[in-house]
This record gives sequence, structure tokens and C-alpha cells, in this order.
Amino acid sequence: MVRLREVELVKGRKRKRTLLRGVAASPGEAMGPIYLLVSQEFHVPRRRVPPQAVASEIRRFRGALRLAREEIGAVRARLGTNPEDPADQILASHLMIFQDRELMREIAAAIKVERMNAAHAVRRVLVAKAHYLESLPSEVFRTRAADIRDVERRLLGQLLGAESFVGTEIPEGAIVAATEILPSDMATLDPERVAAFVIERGTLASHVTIMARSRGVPAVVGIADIQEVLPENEIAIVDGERGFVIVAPSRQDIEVHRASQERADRMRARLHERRESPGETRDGKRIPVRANIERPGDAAIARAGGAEGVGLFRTEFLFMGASGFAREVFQQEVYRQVVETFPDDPVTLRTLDLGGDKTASLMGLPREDNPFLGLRGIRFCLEHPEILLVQIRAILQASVGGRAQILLPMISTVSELRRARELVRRAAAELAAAGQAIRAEVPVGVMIEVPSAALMSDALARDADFFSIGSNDLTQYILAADRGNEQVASLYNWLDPAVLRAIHHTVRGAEAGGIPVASCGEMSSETLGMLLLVGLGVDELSVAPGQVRRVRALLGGVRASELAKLAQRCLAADDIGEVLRVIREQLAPDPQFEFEERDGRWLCHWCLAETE
Amino acid sequence: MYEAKVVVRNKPGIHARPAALLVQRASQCKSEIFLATRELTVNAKSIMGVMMLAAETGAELTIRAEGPDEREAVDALVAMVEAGFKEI
Repeated sequence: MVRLREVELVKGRKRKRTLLRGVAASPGEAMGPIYLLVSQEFHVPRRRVPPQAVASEIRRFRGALRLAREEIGAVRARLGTNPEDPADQILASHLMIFQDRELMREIAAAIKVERMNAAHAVRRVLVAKAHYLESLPSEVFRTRAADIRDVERRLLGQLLGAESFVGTEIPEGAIVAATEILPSDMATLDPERVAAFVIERGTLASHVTIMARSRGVPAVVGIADIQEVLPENEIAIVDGERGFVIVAPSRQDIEVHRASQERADRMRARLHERRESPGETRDGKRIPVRANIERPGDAAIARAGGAEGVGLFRTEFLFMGASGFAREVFQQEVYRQVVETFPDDPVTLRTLDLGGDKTASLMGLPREDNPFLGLRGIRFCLEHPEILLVQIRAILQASVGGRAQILLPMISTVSELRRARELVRRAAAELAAAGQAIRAEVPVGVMIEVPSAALMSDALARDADFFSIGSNDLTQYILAADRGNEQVASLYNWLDPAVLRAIHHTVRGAEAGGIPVASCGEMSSETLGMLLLVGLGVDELSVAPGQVRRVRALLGGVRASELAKLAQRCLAADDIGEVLRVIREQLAPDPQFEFEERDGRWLCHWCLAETE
Repeated sequence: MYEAKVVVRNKPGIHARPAALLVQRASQCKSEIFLATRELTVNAKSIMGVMMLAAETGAELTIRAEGPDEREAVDALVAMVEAGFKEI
């Protein structure tokens, strides 16, 4: 990606305010200048190189190669070269291409024999290869074409003197807008500098939005024609909560934004005062707040943020990138690092949750017509026990250093749970036979994210050691609404009484089986969602590392007994409208909650007004 | 000249990391080494070539070498492919 050089200056003429609706991908609000990242379409000049200039043209090409190699070396050095990091593997494989003598001979031959100029030769040779790969039936090989385009872009950048996209160029506080962010660009992007992301081709599961959520950077995806609708340097407000982008905001928009920023500042200040909140309600109900993490490095951040262990370690990251499935030794190393970061608290590792919209194409899995109802999560792993066994063995070995727990995603029947538990037993027996030290009891839990699992919770509770409610998927499956689809996104709401009843049913099933229930979806940190989860009797909450203190402080200001009453009233509601009325009626007198109506929807702000 | 046939076993085939491992191993040999499927023949020391080969699981591969260490080179690469690149 290349920085767009032409800055559109609209002097003397004020741009019209536009409100763009996309999909909310990471909560928070930010205002700043738009910074457009566009994939550069290089205009490649074609000229015939006279015979006496062939040698110098080949030298130019070799020089560009050397610079491309150095550029990759510099980026890798900045990332800290770790051969097991997927981002580094992508760059390492590009470096290998720049060292490929055969390829270099082919390009040099095009310059020499066909008298092409270097840039033209690079494009001709590489585009043909990318096209060939794109024509292949296997997705895993087709996706390699993107690497060739990356390599072509880097070489052309050197030859044509365009600057390569480097994350540090982004001005502090900019709103980064892009059609798409490629994997190798992600590696160089510094999220600390970005105020918000607006991405055309992004989903809630794409790498950039996951990263945005874990770092607390607001993001909106799914806005069409980004390059036309978001002019460079124009001021915009991004509302990652509701999926809005306001370009050229009015005075009133700015006032509303400032007010919400002030509210956020007030909240931060009070949060700081309550930073030692013990994670219990005012009437003394203890609710541990743990962290959801993506990468091993997040564990230390979560710990510093006050998390009591990890409620959800999404392990898919280990399976992405150039190498496909991560080796057992590497997995073990990563799990051990996370488990040992919390020697006294549980660390819950979710086994590979592929499928749905998650990375299936990277694995070369066949395309499904309806991936969300297809071979996802545990279904995929039970079809490929060899992959699951490696992961389980790695978890069991890492369990020695702390309190690892295994969490199984997308369980929809009791027999799936039993089969998975059998694999855990098998792995444990194999390790024991090989003389490996493992912990005697590694709890195995079930993600409750499919309606059938919620309905069967009492039966599942007999074979499971704990539950963890995945509210994001549970909501979309219960209401049959994809929140990424703008046309039905308004149906998607975890406060819907149907979702609340599913959670209620799950908690009762767990109680009957005497096992604890955690909640690890985004509902656990959203103010109203979290209050209802506590009211419905959930025992633990797991939230993004940056949300731990806020959720704990919020817990410290409410009474579990009152929330239980609130939950009962909501369970009896006819629809979402009534749920919201009931909540508002009960919470509005409490000065720590502020209700605000905006664009026909109302929001609840928890601003820690004086209650004590 | 020395050659041998081998069937790709690992899933989903000789993609990124297996390709890199194969090229690295081939590059240690003095002989010229070629890999062939039914569609393509490529230089085993070229990562781009091996990527283009796009050998999937189940593909039959002919490995052919010519040079001072041809036998050793072919045997080493056959062993790698047969071991599924030690991938899981």
C-alpha cells in the first residue's frame, strides 16, 4: 500500500456533511483527519531498451532487488525476527522469492532478449505467474497469488521510485481508511498511531478488526467506494459502536462527539480511582473478570490490566500465516508462556475454531455454501483428529506451569463433547506413557454458542467441567441474523429476550450439573449486556484486556440482587423494545447511568456518577 | 541422471513452508535438480518454481537430478516428501 500523495485541498468551499453507514467492527468513537491508504496501481511504462543500454537496465533491476531485500530485512528487524511468527513467515517467504536465481534469470532474460525495460519485465513475468496460480482449483495455492502481487508491488516500488507503505508514516491520531489491508501491510502497521479504522473489504473476523478490538481502536467496515466517499485530510468522526462515519461533521456533530469524549474522560478518571475494585458487586457477589486474548503477547498486557486469568485464548492466530498448521513444539511453547503468565488463575484455551468466516480459505478447506452452518469449530476438528490431538497434547504439556483449561467451540451435541473428551483422554494417556509430566485434572469446557447447546445444557453439564457462553455467535444463531449483514443487523441484539432466555436456560442447566458458567462474548463488556449476564447468574466474565478494569469497576457499583430482579423482568418481556424500556425504567433513577437518544436509538452510558 | 517418483502425502500439499524447506534442501546440493508433475517441470532450487508446481496432496512427483551428488539429492528430497515434511 502506498500513501496517496495528492492531497485534496478544498479551499474556500466547505464539503457537505455525509453520514455513512457501515458495520460496527470495534467499539469506541474517534475524530480525526482521514488518511487514505490505497493499493497503488502502478503505471508501468513500456519502452524498448536499445542494445547498448541492456546491461545498465539489468543493473537497475539488480539494484531494485537488493533494495527490496534490504527493505524486508529492515521490516523484519523492526518486528523482531521470530521464525514462528506468521507475519515474519510471510516476509521470510517474500525474501526467498527475491533471492530466487531462476526467477531473476527469467526477468533478466526478458530485459536482454525481448529488450523490455526492467519495470515492464518485472510486471510481465510476475503477473503471468500470479494469473497461473489464480487459475488453480486449490484455494491454498490460489491465495499464494497475493504473495506474488506483494512481491511485484515491492519491486515496482523500487524501480519506479514510489515509496512503500510503512506503518510509521501514519500521522498520529489519523483515521486510517483503506479498501483492504493486506497481510504483509498488517505486519508493519502500528495501531498506537491510528485513531480509527474504516475499511471497505473487512469483516468482523479479519485480522485488522480483531486487532482493532483487542487494542481498543474503533473500526467500521463494509463502507463501499472508500476512496470516493472519504476524502484525504477531511475531518471525520468514526462511531465504532453503531457503525457510522460522519464525513465533514457539522458543529452539532462535533459537540455531541466532544460530550461523549468528555464522558469517556470522566469515566477514565473514575476508573483510575476504582482501579483496585476487587471484582465483586456491592452486595458481595464475587465475579472474576478474566481476559480474552489472541496472541501470547496479550497475556502480559491482560495481567497488567488486572485480569484474573484468561477466559478465552483464541488459538486460530497460531494456525494462520504462511505455514498452515503450527507445529506441536511451537504451540506448546506459546501455551506455556500464557499459562505461566497466570500461575494462580485459570487460562482457558479454546481449541481451533476454523470455519464460518474464520480463515478457512487460508487452510485450503473447500468452500461451503453456508459456512456458518457448516464444518466449523469442533466439527472440523473431529473430522481431523490429528490436528486436534496435536493441539490437546500441546495444551496438556503446557498445563504443568499453571491452570490450563480446554474449551471446545461450536459443540452442538452431547456426543461431540464425548468424542472430544475421549481425544483428551487419549492424548493424556499417550503423554503419560511417554513419561511426560502433565497435570492430572485439566478441565474441559463447552462453548455455548449454538441454540442446541443452550437447549441441551443440562445434559452437556453432566459431561462438561464448565460452560462459556459465546454471546456473539449465540445471538446470531438464535435470531438467525448476521450482524455483518446491514439489512438484518438491526435484528442482532444480545438483549433480545430470546437470547436472554437461552442464557437463562444455560445457567439453569449448569446449576443442575454443579458447574460454573462464564461468558466470553462481547456482551460481557457492553454495559447493559454485562449487567444482564450478572443478573442471569453468570459466574465469570471474560472481556478484552483493555476492558477488564472498566468491567470490574462497573461490577463494584451494582447489586447482584437488583440485577437478578431486572433480569427476571427482561425474561418476561415480549420483545427487545420492552426489554429496553424495562432496563431504562429500572436503571434511569441510578445517577451512574445516563441514557441518551441519538438518531432514533438510545444509548446507555455508564459514567460513574456519584453513587457511593 | 538419476530419478525417482514419490507421492505427496502431507495436506494440503507442497504449499508455503514445505516449498521453502524443499528449496532450502535442494539448494545444498551441487546437482541440477528438477521436479515434475504431469503439468509442469520446475527447478527444485527455485521457490517460485516450486510454488508454480502447486503440488497437492496425492500428486505424483518425479524428482530428477544430474550432477556429482545426484543420487543423494534425489534420495534426500524423496525422503522429505515421504515424511510429509514432518508436518502434522
